[in-house]
Amino acid sequence: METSRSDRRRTKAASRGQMWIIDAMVSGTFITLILFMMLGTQGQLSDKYVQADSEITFSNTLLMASDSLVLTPGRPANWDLLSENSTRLESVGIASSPNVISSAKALRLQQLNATNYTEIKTAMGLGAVNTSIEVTLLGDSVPLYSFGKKSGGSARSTVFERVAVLDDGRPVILRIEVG
Amino acid sequence: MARGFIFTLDSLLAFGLALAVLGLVIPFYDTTSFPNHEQLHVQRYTSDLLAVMQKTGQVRQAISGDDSSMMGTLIQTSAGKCFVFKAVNATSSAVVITVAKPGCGGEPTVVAAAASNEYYEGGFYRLELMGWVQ
Repeated sequence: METSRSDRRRTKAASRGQMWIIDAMVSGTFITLILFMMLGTQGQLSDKYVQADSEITFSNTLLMASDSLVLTPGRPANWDLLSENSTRLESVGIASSPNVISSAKALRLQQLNATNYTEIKTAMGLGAVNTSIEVTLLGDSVPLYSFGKKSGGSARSTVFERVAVLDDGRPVILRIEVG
Repeated sequence: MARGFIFTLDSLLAFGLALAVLGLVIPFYDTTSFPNHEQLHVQRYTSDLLAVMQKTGQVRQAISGDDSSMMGTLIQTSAGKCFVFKAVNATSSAVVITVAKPGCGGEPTVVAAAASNEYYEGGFYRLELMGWVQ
């Protein structure tokens, strides 16, 4: 009688222990699952952020380069009169006033392509990538002025178009492509 | 019975916490967005276009009733980009003219706007150009 009571007590205690172990295992599994889900989501968010940050940086560089070209005369403002060997070029702009492109500067930019391609794109903040600039009449496809090397439709190329007016009053599109 | 009740509370609490954590994380994942290249592009294109239409005298022509030159420019802008120009009399707030690029009925994906002012024949006009990508 005494033995059977003690056996029952042992069985009850063992069963309670088993329940606690199952509970702990279930909780542990859930916590592990949640942690993995959080880590996975955090990883994806982090990748997304890094990619977006890199795209934004690149877009901003391109934006600033196009702003400089279309809205400013460059620095120094008479850079188009400097010799090819001059080291005074700080930034490139081909506008005589905001959104008005100077034909003389656009032509000089085209001429410097053969000798100063790297210096010009470095001054635009685009030193590490192939850069192409074209000025085309609005609605036309043949460039009036062109500079640089086209990426040949590479998947990584990025294009920015700006609308401006030539100093003779004709509306043009300035297309800057990097990649 | 009491033990089962405690386990139920425990699981409910754990489930609630798990849901709360997921609820905090998922909205960030779904809605995290950054101003992208296309948005920057359309914004600049729109403000450039308004400046060009002012510099070429197309805005003044449109205010005086001849919008053919402005329409010609809008038609020649890049494919997929749409624009609507509006000139509002700054005194009476009346819309003087609205010029829209033809064939732009679809849902916009990226929207930008530019505004400026023009003084013409004794009156001030508020100019608005809305641009979007189809």
